[in-house]
Amino acid sequence: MITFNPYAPRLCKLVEVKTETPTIKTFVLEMPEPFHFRAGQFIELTLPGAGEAPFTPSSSPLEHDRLETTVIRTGSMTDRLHEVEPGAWLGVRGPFGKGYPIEKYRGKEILVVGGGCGLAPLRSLIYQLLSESYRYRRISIKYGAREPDELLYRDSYATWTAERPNVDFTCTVDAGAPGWTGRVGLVTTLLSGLDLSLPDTVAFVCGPEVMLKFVTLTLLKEGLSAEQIYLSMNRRMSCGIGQCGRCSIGPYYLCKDGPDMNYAAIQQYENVF
Amino acid sequence: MLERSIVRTDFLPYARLPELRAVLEGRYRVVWQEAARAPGNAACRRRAPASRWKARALHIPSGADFFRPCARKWPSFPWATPAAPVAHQAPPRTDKPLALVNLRPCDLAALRILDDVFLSGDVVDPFYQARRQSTLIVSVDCVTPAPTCFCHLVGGAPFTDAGMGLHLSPLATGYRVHADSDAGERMITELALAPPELREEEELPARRQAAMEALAAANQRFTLTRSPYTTVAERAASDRWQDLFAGCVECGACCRVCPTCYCFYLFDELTGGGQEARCRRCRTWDSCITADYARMAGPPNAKPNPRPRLRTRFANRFDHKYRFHYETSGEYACVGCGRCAEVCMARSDPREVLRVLEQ
Ligand SMILES: Cc1cc2nc3c(=O)[nH]c(=O)nc-3n(C[C@H](O)[C@H](O)[C@H](O)COP(=O)(O)OP(=O)(O)OC[C@H]3O[C@@H](n4cnc5c(N)ncnc54)[C@H](O)[C@@H]3O)c2cc1C
Ligand code: SF4
Ligand code: SF4
Ligand code: FES
Repeated sequence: MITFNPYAPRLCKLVEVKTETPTIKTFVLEMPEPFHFRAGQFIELTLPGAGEAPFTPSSSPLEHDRLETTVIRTGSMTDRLHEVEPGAWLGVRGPFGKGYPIEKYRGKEILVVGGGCGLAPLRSLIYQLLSESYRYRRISIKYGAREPDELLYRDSYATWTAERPNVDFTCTVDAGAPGWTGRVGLVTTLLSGLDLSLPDTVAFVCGPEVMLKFVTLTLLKEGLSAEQIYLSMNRRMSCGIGQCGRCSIGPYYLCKDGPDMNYAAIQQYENVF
Repeated sequence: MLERSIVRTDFLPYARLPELRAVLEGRYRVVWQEAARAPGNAACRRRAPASRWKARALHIPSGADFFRPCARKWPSFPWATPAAPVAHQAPPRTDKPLALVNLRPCDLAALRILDDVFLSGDVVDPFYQARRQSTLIVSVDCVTPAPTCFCHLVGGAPFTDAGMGLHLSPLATGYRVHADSDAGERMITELALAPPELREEEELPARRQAAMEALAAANQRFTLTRSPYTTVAERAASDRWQDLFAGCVECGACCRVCPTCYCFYLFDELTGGGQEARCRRCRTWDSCITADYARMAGPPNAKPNPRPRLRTRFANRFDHKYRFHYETSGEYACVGCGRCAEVCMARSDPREVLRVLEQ
């Protein structure tokens, strides 16, 4: 007798929708039973009739009864998701994937690089790192968005660094706007002349494909090796459990072996970026 | 697990074949895979009934067709106001279990690949598992290869000693029968067979060698000088691909008939509306040769796709089967059954692809 269907979603109630930017919303789900995930793992979220798509939780892995995920509006499913109101039921499968291997890097310097909506998945990593910040020598967060309006979680930056001398946060926008006094320039401009001890550094990078590519090239130029760079790779997914075949890069299935891949493992394959 | 090492070897004279049939049909719903591939095995030959499997395809179905996640719909459940926990499981079957008869060594090799995908990961496919566990597989050594067979080029052979239930090896006067599972063993106990005589056992190596030689002779045109892995790995950027995919119309038939292809897609059907809305999760086969298989979200005319061109999608099929799967498991994800070559309207034959790439 089969009692668990890994292909069918569990129903979860949507309890809150937060508008983050004109194109990005955060969806807060109440979990029917305690939900455990590692930073970097993802879920498959179903909106009935509109389909299922992978998203990474943006809430803290230490929180088990609520799950937040931050979604950019970009196509058929996400368009309809942005219309949904609290009280609706959504489907969740997961968590899937390996999650960031942060235990391996205790005592080291952690560089977190986000681009655009890519800060969303990184936020659960940031929460995890901050909850045990004493374990790392440095936690340096670099973030870039297209324009000031598109910066995610603007109210949180100060709380991330407050009273944690080993944590720093810098952000930049591609194009400024009236009233913007911060940095202007691509996220890669935050990566030259890093004040980190490079041999002890590991970088976790998440963002759109072009951003991943240029951040990787910049980090390599700055002196990091491919082994020191983890990229949140993006591929079409369906099953999330290494069976449906579509999320492959070379011999790897991102849903099972990733989605955060060590650049050294994938750099040799065609079409990585 | 599903298999165990050989538990028993016996001998079934051809004259007693009807008894095996009777015992099988008493216990199982028997699907006789057609044995046109091996005319030498006339004794076991019987046309498949006009089942829905046959109606769909012209090729000889592989065992995979009965297990891998084909089009499937799970029971629908209310969406708008979910009351009870969702019952996702299909109702249990009460009819007789299935016996697949006349699978070939390549079909078994393909099933091992599917087992690896659906049974060995962190999450198993419980539907595949249930069907695999309840199905008796009766396989037979090949005697005469079909013109499209090439298992020997991808590490296989037209015979095997590792069956999955009952395995039959044709000899001059009958079959040598291996039972590899409890169900198989029950079957030969019921028939009260005797162990093979020494003379019969001794016949086997020569027969197997003859089958191998016949296969090599049929493949003379495709004598390869390097391993498929070396060829595909080293010729990834070869201009030769250009000629190879030229006739492909992206119909996906090659993936559809391939016993080792397993890609699928999950989607939902929504019925009713408002408070009455119900949702049904569905699973369907998919093919990596189609353009939207890996297409991702993005602005309307600029959806990122890791394989936007047919050339890379066509090559990806070979990359997966001869290169990436080989890198991770040491085995090819092609068992050389030749089905894709049989159905392709562009006459794309993996042997030809390997041969041309070698040059
Ligand atoms: C591991 C992972 C984590 C992700 N995390 C986030 C996140 O936290 N926030 C966020 O905004 N986006 C995230 N994405 C991207 C997000 O999945 C796509 O933006 C989303 O699928 C777009 O769906 P759509 O229906 O709106 O787009 P359409 O272009 O209309 O796509 C149609 C269908 O294709 C599939 N699809 C399209 N693009 C992708 C894709 N990149 N990956 C998987 N399936 C896809 C989906 O099934 C989708 O419903 C993540 C992607 C992956 C692979
Ligand atoms: S069967 Fe032939 S034409 Fe159809 S997708 Fe495969 S290679 Fe292309
Ligand atoms: S690729 Fe072709 S020859 Fe190889 S297993 Fe699949 S259908 Fe058979
Ligand atoms: S999403 Fe199905 S194999 Fe990765």
